[in-house]
Amino acid sequence: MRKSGRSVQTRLLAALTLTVLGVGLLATVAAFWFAYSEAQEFQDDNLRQVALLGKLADRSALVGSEEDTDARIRVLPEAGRTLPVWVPKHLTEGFHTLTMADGDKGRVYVRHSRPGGQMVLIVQSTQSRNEAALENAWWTLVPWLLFLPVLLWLIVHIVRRELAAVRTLSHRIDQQSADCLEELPVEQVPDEILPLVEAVNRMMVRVNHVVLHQKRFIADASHELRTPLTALSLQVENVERAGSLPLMQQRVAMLKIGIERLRRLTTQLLDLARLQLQGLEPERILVSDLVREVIASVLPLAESRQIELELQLDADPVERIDVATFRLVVHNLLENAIKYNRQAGQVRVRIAMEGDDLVVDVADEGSGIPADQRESAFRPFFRLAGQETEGSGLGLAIVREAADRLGGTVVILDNSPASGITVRYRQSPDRESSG
Amino acid sequence: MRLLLIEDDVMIGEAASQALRDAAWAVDWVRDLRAARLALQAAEHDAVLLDLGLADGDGCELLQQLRKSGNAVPVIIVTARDNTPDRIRGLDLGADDYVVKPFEIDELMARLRAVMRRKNGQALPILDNGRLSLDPASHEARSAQGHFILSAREFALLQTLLQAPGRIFSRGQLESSIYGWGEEIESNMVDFLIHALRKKLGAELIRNVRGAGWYVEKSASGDIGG
Repeated sequence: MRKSGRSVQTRLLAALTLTVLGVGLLATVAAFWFAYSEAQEFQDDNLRQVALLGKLADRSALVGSEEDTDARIRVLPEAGRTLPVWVPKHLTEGFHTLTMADGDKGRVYVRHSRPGGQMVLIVQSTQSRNEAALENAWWTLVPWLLFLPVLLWLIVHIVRRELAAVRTLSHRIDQQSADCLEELPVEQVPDEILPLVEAVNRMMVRVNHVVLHQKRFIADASHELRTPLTALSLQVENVERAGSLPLMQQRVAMLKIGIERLRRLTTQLLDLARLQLQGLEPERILVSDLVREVIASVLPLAESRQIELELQLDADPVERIDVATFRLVVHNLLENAIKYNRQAGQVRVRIAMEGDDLVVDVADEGSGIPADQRESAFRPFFRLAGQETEGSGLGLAIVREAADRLGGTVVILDNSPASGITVRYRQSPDRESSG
Repeated sequence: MRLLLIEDDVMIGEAASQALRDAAWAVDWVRDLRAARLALQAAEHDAVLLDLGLADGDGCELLQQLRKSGNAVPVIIVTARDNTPDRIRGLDLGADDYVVKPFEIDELMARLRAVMRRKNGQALPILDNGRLSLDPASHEARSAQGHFILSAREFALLQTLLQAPGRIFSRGQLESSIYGWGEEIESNMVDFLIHALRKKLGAELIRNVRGAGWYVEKSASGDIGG
């Protein structure tokens, strides 16, 4: 399997985790800061209240124990003493931060007992204040730090669960055999990947269709190969048993016809297979040149059946076309027209232009194909009932396949009132190359 | 022995007819069901080779009709369909055997001999009436005078006689067991063949009833050496 940064799950988890950690960090800093400031303010309030209390009650009751180092609040001046030297002479009422005798900083609340009278200072060590505020702030972080792992675990779990549908789907696809693809169920599929699953299902239908088509073709082809093989094996055995030389020669002649039939069938099967695989290499050719060449190649067959061939040029176009594929069209049309013609009949090839379309007609004088069987005549191994000629039934199938490859069409037309049929190949100009 | 070959492929039909004629069968070859029905009405056949995929229908139809009408002629299906359901169906419809194309002619011949034996209720491959025996596989005949390899037509005639010892065959019946349709019947061929067989095997083994025809004796416990 390919490992890449494209896993939705990994990316989703990374993004969510980073977001949670980032936002969490900001929230932590903010919470810490608020808790810290809150604690400072709270302690200032304490100082002020101590000062207010100091008016009402015995001052000594207000002084914390010397041992209470945590939140030591001192009231100055102490009983019977004057203010220490680090206290400036004139201080306004309110909060001040002063450096004390021991060099430590102190938070001081100043109060004048009466205007112009003696100052009272409520002093607290800044260090102890900060310690208290920090402690307070740290405690606000505890729930957050406790729940962060839970949150991360939940994120991983939820993402995994939601993406399980994708894993299930890919597992199902892995399980499929290439023979027949089953469509994927769409009931449990999330809306977001439903279009993808539906597209995959449509593709499966198409692939199944092609596979079925190919399977049927292979089954038909292997069945069709048995017939000439059976004839061949019988013919060989007949040769073996021939008692005399003339008899043997006569039987060898039959054998040769049998071999020719098998050769033709395999050639046609290969033609059909190649058509489905090979790419096209269009080149500009004079259509009549190619048709002449094909006519020359079928002349011996035509002469053996006293069939007269005729080429009629209503136009003499130059076309951009794949020669090998186009030759298959013309060759198979001509061969069919000769084979299924009446004895001493005529085959007429006509090249014409209809608008921008190239039209090649091949007309015979045979017994024709009934209108209701004309479409099935293009199926591989089709043969008309009661047909005397030993064809492979592949000629028109090759023509159809080749026409499809070239982007052309092929139809069977009546020659009425004359006998026979015309098979018409029509090709519209290739828009890409003509433009 | 006369055989009806039902085969739509011209090349196979011609080659198989030739091979069967070489093996001393009289062959009538037809290419579709309609012609096969006519042939079965027109003549009595000793065996039928039946192709299944015919232009005007499935060979199984003919087989079904044949068996329904009580005709027990041995039928071997010869087809390119090689899947088991087709074989089972063919055999269940009353075929005596099933041969898949492509086949070797020797195998087909052996199967033909086997169904002929079964038809005649014989377990042993050798036809024998006690005084005269004939091996259908090797065309070898034995009698008190020795053993001889018979020509195709001698064999065909003797096989016909030996398959029903005691039954009298007319000239026409013997001719039809030697010649298929379209083969020219030579006028004195039966006389000529019987003469040749008698000369080789012994004059008294093939008997004649004047005006009726020829027969071989029913299996007697008689001694060959007599």
